[in-house]
Amino acid sequence: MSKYIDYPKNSSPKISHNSWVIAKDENLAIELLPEGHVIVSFSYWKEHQAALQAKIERQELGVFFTVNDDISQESDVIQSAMSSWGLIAIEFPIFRDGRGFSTAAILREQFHWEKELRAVGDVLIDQLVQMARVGFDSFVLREDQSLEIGLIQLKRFPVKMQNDWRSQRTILRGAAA
Amino acid sequence: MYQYDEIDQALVDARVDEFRDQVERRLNGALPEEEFRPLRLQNGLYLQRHAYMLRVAIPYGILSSIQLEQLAKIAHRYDRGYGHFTTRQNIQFNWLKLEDSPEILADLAKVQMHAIQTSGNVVRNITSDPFAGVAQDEQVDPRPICELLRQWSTLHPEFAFLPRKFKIAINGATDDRAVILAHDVGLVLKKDQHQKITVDVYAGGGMGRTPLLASLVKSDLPWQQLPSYLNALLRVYNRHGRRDNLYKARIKILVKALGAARFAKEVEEQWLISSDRNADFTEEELARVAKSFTKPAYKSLSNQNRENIIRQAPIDSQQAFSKWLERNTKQHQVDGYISVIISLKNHRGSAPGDTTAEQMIAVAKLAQEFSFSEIRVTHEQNLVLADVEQSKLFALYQKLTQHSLARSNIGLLTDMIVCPGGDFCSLANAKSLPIAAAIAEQYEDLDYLFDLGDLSINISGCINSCGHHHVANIGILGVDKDGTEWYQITLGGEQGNDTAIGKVIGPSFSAQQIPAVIAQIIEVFEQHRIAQEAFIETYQRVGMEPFKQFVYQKVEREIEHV
Repeated sequence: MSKYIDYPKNSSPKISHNSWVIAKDENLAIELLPEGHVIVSFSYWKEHQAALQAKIERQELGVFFTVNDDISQESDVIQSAMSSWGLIAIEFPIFRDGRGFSTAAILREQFHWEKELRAVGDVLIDQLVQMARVGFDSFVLREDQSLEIGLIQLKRFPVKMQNDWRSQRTILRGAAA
Repeated sequence: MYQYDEIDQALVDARVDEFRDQVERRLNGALPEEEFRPLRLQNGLYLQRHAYMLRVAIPYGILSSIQLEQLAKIAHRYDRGYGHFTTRQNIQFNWLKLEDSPEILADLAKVQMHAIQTSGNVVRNITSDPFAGVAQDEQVDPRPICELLRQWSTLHPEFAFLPRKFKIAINGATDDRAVILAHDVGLVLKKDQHQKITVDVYAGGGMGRTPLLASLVKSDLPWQQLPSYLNALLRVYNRHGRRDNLYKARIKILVKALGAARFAKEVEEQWLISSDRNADFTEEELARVAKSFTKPAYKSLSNQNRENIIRQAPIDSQQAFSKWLERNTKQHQVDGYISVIISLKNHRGSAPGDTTAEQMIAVAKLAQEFSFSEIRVTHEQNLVLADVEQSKLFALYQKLTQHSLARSNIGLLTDMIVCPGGDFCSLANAKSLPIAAAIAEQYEDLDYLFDLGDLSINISGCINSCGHHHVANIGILGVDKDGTEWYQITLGGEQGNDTAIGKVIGPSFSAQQIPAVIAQIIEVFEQHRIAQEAFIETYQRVGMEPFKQFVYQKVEREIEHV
């Protein structure tokens, strides 16, 4: 089983075993979806909602967004359905495409998504700090990346200049303490 | 000026450690160049034609003497003994080794400096009026808000991988000295009827391949709400800016495609639904920052008239001194004080903006002696001592002269903005420094330059327009034609309150032709000039046609002779 970095809000990052599988094939017959926890694309979910009901009831369904999904346009659909999803993933097609950072921020800030938000795709250890701050709490790194160095990256910055999903900016935090 | 607290220092120190680790991984091969590239760029490190170049941030262009001395030491220790002040009020070192870069960043951190976000597709160093806090026409001192926005933009987690770079400029005076309209976002600070500070937000300006002036997208925004508003604006850009074409990725293309009104509406909607209103600045934060920008200990002095100031010099120096006073000083808010501009446009073997380590040390010492240990960098690539006592002007002038820093050409033809061009930059299509030198060479006569008056010539070695040629009265752009270097000329550009983008005069010229072409343009100006008109006034009155006709007629004749 593959490993990932698990970093829930208000706790420390750690390396865990991953139980979710991504089904990327848009044309895959529903019967051929893997057993257990599966993450399907948002468009696949839209097309096969009814047929996915059994998985949803077993809390085994997650949904992933690509950079082409405009989640603001689909706001109503997502917000009324998301409580049935066990996890949301956001795909980074290439590390330098930063749209997923805003997608994550919108999910956390505007849609109040509170379950797991996972970064998948071209996810590099040198982006983990920013990802963890905008709202991601789990990270499936690209295969060649070192999870151990990734953990170090996440602990690097003792201060910050902006509020984020995890906490307020340092000066406000200091003032409140 | 702003002093770091333990939060700022902790962040910069952590950043140095992070980069040290990244460089190590790069050097041992764990990190491939393609992935290291955005990381080093976000720390200001470019790979140029000959070596690595490091661009160091000078937030809104303000430096202390201690910082400038440290920059001199870096130039001496790690570079070839000089640095280059840029059009974004930063400094860059051109001849560095990758292995040294973490050590240089550590040296910078010791004097509260860094190179964070001086490059890459991020919010870049914020620029502002070099006369902030001292200008007579100031409505709002922009420095505290510049500093708060520096902090807000530093390592902003959502905007580390924007479609393209993002430049913000801030101005708080009646005259625009920050080229607000040529920026991705330009902020104009003003006071409302209750003396509260508000902001007009302009977006979608920029130079480059598609020069566009920014449009007003939000009026009268209370300054405290800048973070949430800019978060919304950047979120719209991050999500919808084009990523399929490098040349269409700047926000100006998005604003133009949507139309300014629709762009403004999208930002407004995003802003209203965004829940994080406590992103906004608090009075407590302003108070913490503003205490760094109180007035220095000015003496109670009275203004001196010009004649008295000139008489500080012995008779035989009075003429030269008065010329320097005329071009290189600017009126101050406080009686008895004046701001001095130090020209870095010597053109004798050095590029515009270049300063040797010795000159940096000299300026640092002069700032200590004459201007409360503070130095400003202008986007025109000169330096400013903002708070000089009028009674000490000649003493300062003499010392500047000893270091070849008293050239009296501010705002004149030879005060050119010039990018490093093909001599250094790997993006450039053509050289720009030799062109600047060749033009300067034919205008050595200072009296003639004074007669010509205000006139800007800016040179960019490629369409990225780092030399700001679009907003010059005479713009020169290096272009590549079948592997040879050619130069396109634009006329009628302008910065300031009437910012305008110049228009192309016609087919481009060879490097050899440029000095003659400039001379011909000046000749047409002199023929048509009425009284003491500035070049831009004459141009606006007579239009492009007489310039075009004369220049191309001459060029054709030259070709016939060949």
